Parts: sequence; C-alpha cells; structure tokens
Amino acid sequence: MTFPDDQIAELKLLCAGVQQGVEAGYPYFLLPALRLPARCDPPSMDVLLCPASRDGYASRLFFAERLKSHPHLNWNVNRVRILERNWDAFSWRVNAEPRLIQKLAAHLRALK
Amino acid sequence: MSVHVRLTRQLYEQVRADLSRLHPFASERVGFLFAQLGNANSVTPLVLFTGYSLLADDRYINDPQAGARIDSQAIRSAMQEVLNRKEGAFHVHMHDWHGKPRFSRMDRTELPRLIPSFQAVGLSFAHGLLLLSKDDITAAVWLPGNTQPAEADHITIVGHPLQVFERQRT
Amino acid sequence: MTSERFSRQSFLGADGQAAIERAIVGIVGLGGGGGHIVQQCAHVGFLNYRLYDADGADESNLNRLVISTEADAEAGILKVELARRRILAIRSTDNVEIFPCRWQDNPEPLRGCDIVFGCVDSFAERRELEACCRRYLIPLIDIGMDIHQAGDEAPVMGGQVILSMPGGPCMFCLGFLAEAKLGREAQKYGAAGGRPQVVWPNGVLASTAVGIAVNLLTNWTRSKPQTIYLSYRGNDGTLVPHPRLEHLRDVPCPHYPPHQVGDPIFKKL
Repeated sequence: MTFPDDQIAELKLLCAGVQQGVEAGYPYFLLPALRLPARCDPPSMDVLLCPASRDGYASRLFFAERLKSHPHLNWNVNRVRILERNWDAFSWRVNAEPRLIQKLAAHLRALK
Repeated sequence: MSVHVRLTRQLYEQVRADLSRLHPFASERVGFLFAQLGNANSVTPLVLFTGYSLLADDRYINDPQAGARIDSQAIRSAMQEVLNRKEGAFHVHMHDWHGKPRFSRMDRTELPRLIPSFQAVGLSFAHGLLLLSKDDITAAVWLPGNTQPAEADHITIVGHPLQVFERQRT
Repeated sequence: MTSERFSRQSFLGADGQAAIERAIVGIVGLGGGGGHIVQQCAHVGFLNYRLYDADGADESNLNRLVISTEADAEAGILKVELARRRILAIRSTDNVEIFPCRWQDNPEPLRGCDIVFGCVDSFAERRELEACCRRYLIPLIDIGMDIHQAGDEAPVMGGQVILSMPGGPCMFCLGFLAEAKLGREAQKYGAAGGRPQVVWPNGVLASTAVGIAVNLLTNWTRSKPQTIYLSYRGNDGTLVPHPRLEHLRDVPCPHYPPHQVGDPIFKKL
C-alpha cells in the first residue's frame, strides 16, 4: 500500500520522525514520541497508526502503553505484538477518513 | 553467544544448483547470499537469508592455484547489493565432498578480506562466509561491529524437509 | 536405556532420531492441545523445548489437560511447570526452558526455535504468532478446535491443523485468517464464558501436528512438499485436506514477502 507524498508530509509536520513499516500486509506509521492532546499522561508517547482496515475498524491507533489519564476508555487491545513491539489500543470507531492526518486526528479526538 | 543461521529450502536449493554448475576453467563456483539480522541485540542473533546473486562466468579469473578467484567487479557488485538491499552479504561456495565442510587454508587467508569491504557499506548488518559440502554446511558470521567471526552453531534449512545442522559450541 | 527406546521408530530413517534430537521446539499454549503435544514430543524423543503459558491449572481444565492431576489443579500449578514435569518423566533432558508468561512478553527465546507449535485461542493471537514465525523463518504448526451450537440443533465440532511454512501460503492465503473473522472476533472481546473444549479432538489435532513435525524433520514419508491445511469435523471424526486447497493459487504469499524477515526495519520518511 503506498501513500501520497503530500499526506506523508502532513504527518511529518506533526511528527518529524515518522517512519513507515509493514507486517502481514498491513501498513503502519510509527510516530515516535508523538505529542498527545493536553491533559494526557504521559504527554507524549510512541504511537502506531494502521491506516488500513484492521479487525473491523476502518483504521486503528496503537499506543506504546495505556494512558494513565484515560483509564475510562475501552482498552480492548492489550499488549498486541506488531512489528516486534507490544501495543495497547482503545476501541474508537472512526469514519474511513481520506487523509492520513485526518485518520490520526480522528483517533486523537478520543483523548480530548 | 550462539549464532543461528536460517534459509529457506527453496533458496538453499537455488544456491546448490548454481554452485554445482560447471565453469569453463574454475573448479568451484562462487555466489553471494544476502541476509537480514534478527534478535540483533540478544545472545542468540539470527542470520536470515533472503536472496542470492550468482556470478556470471566472466567474473572469474583463471588462477590454477585457486578453486575459484573472482574479480574486483564481482566484489563491487556485491557491495552495491549490500547498499541496495540494505542487507548483509555472505560469500558462498561449495566443496565437492561429503561431511562437515572446512574452509581451506586459502579460504581462511583470502576470504575474510572481503568482510571489511562489506562492513564499509553496511555497518549495521551481519556479513560472512558460507561453505557447503554435498550434504552439510558451515557459516562464519561477522556480527555488526565485529572484526572476528563467530561460527554459526545452529543452521536450519527451512522447508520440507526441515534440516538442522548443529555444531558443538567450544 | 536409549538403545531400545526408539527401536520401534527406526522407520524414521538412519538420521531421523538425531534430527529430532537436534531440533528446538517451541510450544505456545500448554492447555488442551499443547499438553498433548508436549507429551508426544517427549515420547518421540525431542530434547530441546521452549514452553510458553502464563496460566496455572484449575478445575475447569481437568476435562482435557492431560498433563495435570486433580492435585495440580487444586494447587494451581503453572502449566509450564506441569509440562516440564511431564517431559522429564518421559525423557531426560537438560534443555527444557519454561516461560510462565505470554510469548509476546519474552519473545527472544521463541525466535530461536526450529519449529513452533501454536496452541492459542483466538484468530488475533494466531495472526501475531504467525507474523513472528514468518519474520524469523520458523515453520508454525497451528492447531485449534471449536464447538458451535445454533438453537436446538446438534453441536458442531470443528478444528484445524495448519502448517504455515515460510515461503509458502500463510493463514491469510489459506483463508483461515481474514479481516471479517478478525473483526467479528474483536466485536466479541470480553464476552463472558469459556469456549467449549474437550480432550479427544485435542488429542486428534495434537497427534497430527506432532506427526507433521516429525515428518518435516525426518522426511520418513519421502513425500513432496505440500501445503498442509487439514480440516477436522468432530461430528463424523474426519480430518481431511481443506477444500480451500483446491482453489489455492500458485503465487508467492503476498502477506510475508521474502525480504520482510529479521528485526523490523522502518523506512524513515
């Protein structure tokens, strides 16, 4: 799966160190130390965006660990192994947004 | 430390088939395998072969003293592949007898000279030497940053059949 | 003792026993299926084990956990401890490593295995395990069973044995894993109650898996390499090649291309 350069450029504005990976046919974007919305604890964290349909979700955002500030979210993915790291994710359905940055923003909206 | 090496049977048989071909004057053939590293920072690093490049007949130098001598273009091509693939390079050749293969005196003198060239273009990859016999295999692996090789003590041909070659660790 | 011990399996070939003894087997999940596998591996003569399971035995396991006694279940003994105990009772070896945790929390030893038996409970776990095995070029033999009941109809028992061989079709290629199934499974996350499980289909599937492993190592059948996806129908006691195999296209697996091995490499953007 390839993504247009302009969409990747938009991700880079948000996270300069963004990297791309793939596993089992799923594409992933690793955003190291992404600054999270205000009141998040911790305030920044590695996140992994899967912009493709996965497990019945149009896209999915994985976190290096559960946010202490948001225990009330339905963290229904517990230490799943992707690209040789373990990740957590909460259930948050977003529409099939057309642009990568929109997909990411839609997931981060849950943290506001 | 215990170094494991793995390649698929399909790749292994591709290598054997190529190295078995007769050359107009060289008594042995040479090729290059390319590998990714797994478990890089552990006590059991894994060398995982992904592909093979054979050498054209005209890349050999006619040297009766050697089983096979390859020219500098062959080595430069292998170095370029390290850069292109972002993988480590392993020189591979075959001795035409049964049992555990052993690098000859000339192999031990000449072949390690390739490694610094590969390391120069691929410092974070493992490079090395692979030697096949009719029914066995041995590998010397230079892990990233190492100037000395480690002998692979567990080599697996992955496929049907699944073949495991094991060396006693000294 | 060893001169007679394996005399009845000499048909495995001159080097067959040595091949079994050289191999490092990983078993992920030491429940109903994994318990059978561990036991049979010990009988066949495997010497090198890496065993993963975070759980202890309990009463609900006793209908199928062949490595557990009532006392073990009462004491909540770790399943990996039970597995080690069973192995050592059958076959002396210094090389049984146990990991009372999820494999994801200590993956390095698993990567060192020559064969992995996957005895996990969900499609999602299978996806994770297969991804790791493909990345580190390890054949994965997956087993599983399930029982469904619709209304008043008789329960339907099914299961599978799949060999996921690096370079060959993966579980996605075989249709065993699919986005729709993973999605439905994710929807049911947290649904109460244990899945129905019984001892005899686990035995059938586990035995078949061990047979596949032995054949891989010894090639005693001298058969050509083939894709193995066996479908178990418990209601009539059959284990047959899955019909899907007839429609399998002879193309390289697109999910795990040959260069995507080793520690993950991210492309800097």
